[in-house]
Amino acid sequence: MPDTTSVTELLRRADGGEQAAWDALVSRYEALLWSVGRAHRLGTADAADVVQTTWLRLLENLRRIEDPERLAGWLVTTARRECLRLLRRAGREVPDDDILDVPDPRSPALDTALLREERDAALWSCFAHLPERCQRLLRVLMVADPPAYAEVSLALGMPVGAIGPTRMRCLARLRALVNAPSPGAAPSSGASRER
Amino acid sequence: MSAEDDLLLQRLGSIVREVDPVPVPTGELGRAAFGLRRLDDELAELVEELTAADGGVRGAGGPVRLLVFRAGELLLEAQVSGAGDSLVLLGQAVLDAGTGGTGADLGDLGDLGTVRLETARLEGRSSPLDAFGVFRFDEVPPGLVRLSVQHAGRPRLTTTWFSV
Repeated sequence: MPDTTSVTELLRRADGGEQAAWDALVSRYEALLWSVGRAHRLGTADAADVVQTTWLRLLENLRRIEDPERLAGWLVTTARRECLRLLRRAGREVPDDDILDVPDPRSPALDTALLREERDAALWSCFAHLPERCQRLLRVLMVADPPAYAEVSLALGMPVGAIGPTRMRCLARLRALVNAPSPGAAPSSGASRER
Repeated sequence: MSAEDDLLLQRLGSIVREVDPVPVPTGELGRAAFGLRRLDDELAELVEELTAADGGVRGAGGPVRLLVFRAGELLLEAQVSGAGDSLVLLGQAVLDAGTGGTGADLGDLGDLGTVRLETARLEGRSSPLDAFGVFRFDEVPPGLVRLSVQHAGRPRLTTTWFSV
């Protein structure tokens, strides 16, 4: 049920006190905000805080959003700022470029047990073996209603011009991992796959 | 941008919606946040923020932050101290007498009032202001909070959300 009401209209109606308009804004953007938290390697509680913080900031600024059609950019910028604050507070620095070249060993393991299709489980396991930079970018790009590159850039602090080429490289790499015949490419996530 | 790439991303998208969807409570909290709008309140904006490393200000462990909010002539100061999951928020609401004056306390208004602390998870608690406009909240969880001050005869004053 794609909601085609314009963002400008939803903001106007929310500002007028219409809960349904606010709910529509939440539905439209919550997966994107969640992906920003996950792309910054936050756990569930922190990612949830990022999303909620972003909504509260938006409520305070409903009247001040200058260009409503750029709301997504404003939201991801707000969310990223909060991600960076949480990472700093936890003493986890924002990784520099070198670290982004390998998978992050601290990233929370996502459960493949939920996936019925073996093919999907295999793909998701390969995803976890991608370099950190790829996982971050693809995590945001795989949202149902993918954000524009300008918004991805704001969400991740990545230059707009790097997004297209990185996307292409990362997907090629993922495909290579999937097609790799060796078991070396398969992760050892024992517990979840024995079920 | 090849169609093949688009398809792969779509597949990843459908996987991620299964293994890592937005948690239901997160969505509910976001929708419920709309009820927190306070259009009739006076909004107190952050006008000053100071951080002291341990020295100087008394406080057990961790840095001490002082935040000052202002709405009109009312100043709301909040000192955040402590560490971990249990912070202490010590504050004072004072009337700013303006240039040259030394703020008067709210007791001058004849009504002591109450202050309310709200968290981003939509929990709240209240505390009375004492004769000097001082209030204190213990065991404050880290995260986003805001304060509202209410006393008879004045519009309620609410700070912007701030992180503790």
